[in-house]
Amino acid sequence: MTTLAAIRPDGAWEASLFLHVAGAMLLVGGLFVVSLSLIYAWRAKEDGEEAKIRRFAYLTLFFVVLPAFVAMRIGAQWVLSASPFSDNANWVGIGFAISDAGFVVLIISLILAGIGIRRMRTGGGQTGARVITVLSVALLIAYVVAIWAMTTKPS
Amino acid sequence: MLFLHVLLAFILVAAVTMFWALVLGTRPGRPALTPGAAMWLGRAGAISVGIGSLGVLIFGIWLAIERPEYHPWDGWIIGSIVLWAIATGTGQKAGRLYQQAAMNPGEALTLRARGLRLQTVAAIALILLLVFMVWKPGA
Repeated sequence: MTTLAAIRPDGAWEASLFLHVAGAMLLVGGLFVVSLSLIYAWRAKEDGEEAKIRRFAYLTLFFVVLPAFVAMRIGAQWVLSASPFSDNANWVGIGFAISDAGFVVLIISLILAGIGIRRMRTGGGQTGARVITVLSVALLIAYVVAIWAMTTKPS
Repeated sequence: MLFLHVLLAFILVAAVTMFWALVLGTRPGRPALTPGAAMWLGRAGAISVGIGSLGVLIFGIWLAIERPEYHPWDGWIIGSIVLWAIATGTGQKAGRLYQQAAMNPGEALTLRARGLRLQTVAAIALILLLVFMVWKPGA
């Protein structure tokens, strides 16, 4: 319950922290939905069912994960500018590295999703879906590392 | 300890995000998910919400005891526990209503409407919980 106390000093920057944490939570939540949906689609036996679930996952990627990433990233920059922490701290570096690499992976996933939606009409796009599955699970693991860095602040 | 508490909070919110996605993905008339997929994803969400909600409370109280600057009887911590109870209680009830709606197509609309109201209450309680964690009113 006292959690966020330790990842902020006292100050008037609660709004930025709220935006950052809420965005990050929604980002991880959206990725959780995308990953599990695509894992289910991977195992689905009927082509129609698989395509339906893939579409659901791609829409979640676009309408939940992308806006949540933007909120998290804006919040991160805002909270850092208002905080006493140095931009050069190790844990800040870990956060930025994961965030920047995560953005590239997210854009690749969105492009693959766009291509996948077009290919669904002709019954294709399975390979792209599998790549997005792997990428979204990798992103989830990377964000767990980011949570660890934000909460333990390794020097 | 803080890492586990925050990680479990993320798992809890991930499960709630899953439930909202399921609400939208199983709308009568225009379902984006097959019943089988919805059941499978719902089970995964239920497991995650169980682990997340219980774990976040246990580690939260542990942190309140362990850290000298906070106490479990601080107003904002008690308020957070009350919000946690509201969120888990209404969330659980909403889940049961959605399950009943899936099994009784005749009453699905009514049951889903009630479920949606409760799920909205649960989501608002969780948002307020995060507000308490960040602003710590009265601390």
